[in-house]
This record gives sequence, structure tokens and C-alpha cells, in this order.
Amino acid sequence: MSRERATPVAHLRRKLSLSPERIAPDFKRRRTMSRPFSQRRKHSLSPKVRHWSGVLPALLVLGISMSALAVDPAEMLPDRALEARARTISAEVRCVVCQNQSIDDSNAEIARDMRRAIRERLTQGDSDAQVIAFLRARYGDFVLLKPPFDWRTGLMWLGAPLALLLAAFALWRGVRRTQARQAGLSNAADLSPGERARLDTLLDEDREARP
Amino acid sequence: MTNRWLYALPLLMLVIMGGFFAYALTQSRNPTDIGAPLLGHKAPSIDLPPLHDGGSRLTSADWLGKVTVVNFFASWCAPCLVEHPLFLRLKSEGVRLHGINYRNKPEEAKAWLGRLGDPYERIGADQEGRAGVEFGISGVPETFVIDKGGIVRLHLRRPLTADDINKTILPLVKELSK
Repeated sequence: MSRERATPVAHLRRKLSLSPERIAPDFKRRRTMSRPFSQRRKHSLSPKVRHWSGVLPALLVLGISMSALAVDPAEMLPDRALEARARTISAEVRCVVCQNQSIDDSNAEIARDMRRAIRERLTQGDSDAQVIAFLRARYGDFVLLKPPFDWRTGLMWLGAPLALLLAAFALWRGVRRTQARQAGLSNAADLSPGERARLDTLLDEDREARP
Repeated sequence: MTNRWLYALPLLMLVIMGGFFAYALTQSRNPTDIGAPLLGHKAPSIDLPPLHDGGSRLTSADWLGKVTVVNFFASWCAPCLVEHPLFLRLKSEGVRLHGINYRNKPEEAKAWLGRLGDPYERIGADQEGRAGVEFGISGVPETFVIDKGGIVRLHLRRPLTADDINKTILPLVKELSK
């Protein structure tokens, strides 16, 4: 018993001379109990175990989620090129039920029906633009994940670049003006002696005027 | 002089944006609303098998010549159950009413109609949901009013209420039937 912990009962224990070893002879005193609190073990698992127990689940989840496709293998077209076109179009079409997923990702039944309708139109020979037009005629512009560019959405599309250009222009003008002002100041050497004297007088008055 | 107005520009842009935000936040806009893109356009052409054995197919020729109300319904759809009596009323008012049974097992649909009454002149069975995509529906129930020429005049993406029948559909049907 090297170190006695300064607990309220410590003096009582000394008096009663009761130690855990005497009460229960097979009591094994652990090292951690006799160390100062600041030297305690911070973690029960080793750093390597702790590292991999975080990285492996993350990789697993990432891997599994990337393989989760809403497209049923039974839906896929036998023609590879058409299937690829169907997938590209589906990725641009909004699921009208979930609304922030594309029909390629959504598990909704309506999404499934829309995917099948797209594949049906493609098999019948429609071009990509015709398939998009087909969906737009029935669901409106909202069905496209990327809003179309026409006179109503023009301000939305151009607004941010326009603001950026205006800001750049204002900045350029500001820089030009600062440069001009500095160039103007450096022309002070061109004052005639009379004007220089007047300038000094005015500056002195100004300096005196300030408290 | 030009610089002064340039300084006012960011504030102006902020005020304009603020106006848009205020409008969007206060005008009870529904951002998830898809709207009714088929309004004013010809109703899509469909050709569906009949729900009832011995009945006739439902095609796009079936709504030409007379104002028609087309309703998408299903036995598994609870709001359809709620709006069903209104369709019985529409039928009694003499409105031509066709139904499209959307993604429903025929036996279940027939049992449902047998229990509640069948207001539809013809019912097409759309088990694959293809007619649904043609009409641009996003769920059930949805109701269309189609005029004599086959043009869609009304598209409601929700169950009907008595007000819809009295104030919107019946007057519209009367108007279009002239």
C-alpha cells in the first residue's frame, strides 16, 4: 500500500486498519487505482483498433450506398446504348413524389413507371429531346432537375454571374480611381513655388486647427 | 457622379431579392406544386382493357363528343374512399364519368366498387401505371374534366370536395356542354 488516497474515510480506514486485502484476500490491487488521476488510461482500446473501427464501417457504408440503384435489373433494356441513354435521361428527371431525387435514384412507384415509360419511348425510336418533351408536356418544367433556360428563368440563370461581373467592374473602377488619385498626388512636384508655399500654409493651418 | 449610383447598386439588389423572399414567404406558395401542364392541351391517347369482364375498353375516343370527367382511383387509396359519394352524385346529375383504375388488383377493385357503388360509365384497368404517366399524375386520386373536343379543361391533383363539385365542376360541365 504505497499511496493512500485522500478520501474522507482515509483516516478512518487507517484507524480501523481495514484494507481490501484483509477483507477479501484474493483482492488484486489494480495499477490504475494507485496512479494519479491525470495518468489514468485515456482509452480502453488501442489507437490502431480505434482507427480501423472508424474507417472500415465508413468504407463499407460508402461501398454499399454506391451500389444501391433504384433501377431494377428487370427494367433494363437489352440494348446497351439505349439503356445508357435511358439512364442519362432518368438522371435529369425529377421524381414528382420525392421531388429532390431523380427518378434514377428514387424507389417510388411513379418513378418506376416513368423510367419504364422512358425506356418504352426510346425503344420506339424517340430521340432524347423528344422523350424530354414528352415528359415536359405531361409534368411541366418542374420535372426537369435543371430548369430550362427561357425568358422566365433567364434572370435566375444569369443573375449570379451578372452580380459577379458587376462586382468585378466596381472593383476595377475602384482600383482605377485609387491609382488615379495616387498618380495625382505624385504630381505635387509640379506645383510652382508660390503654389507650394500656399499649400504649406494651408497644411500648417489645418494641423494647428486639429486638436 | 456615376460612382455614387454604383454604390447604391448592392443595396438595390438586396432590396429586389428581399422583395422576392417576402413574396415567397408570405404568399402561401406551395413549392411542391407541379401545376396542371395538360390544361388547354389534348388529353393523351390511351387504350386500356376494361376492369369489368365483358365491359368495353377505355380509349381516348370515349371522351369525344360529350364533356367527360375522368377520375383516377384505386381501392387501396383512402382519399378515393372519401370522395366516392361525390362521384355517385355526379352520375346522378347526368355527367359522363369514366374511371381509370390505377395499379389495382382487379378483384380488389371490383369488390370495392361492389361495396360502394359504381358511378363510372366505363373503367379502364391501368395495372402498369402507363396511362398514369400519359396523364402526368403524381398520385391518386386525380380528376380531369375533358371537353367535347378532347381538350383538358380542369385537372385537380387531389380528392374532390363538395365545393369542387358545386362551384367548379358542375358549372364547368354546364358551360362546356353548351
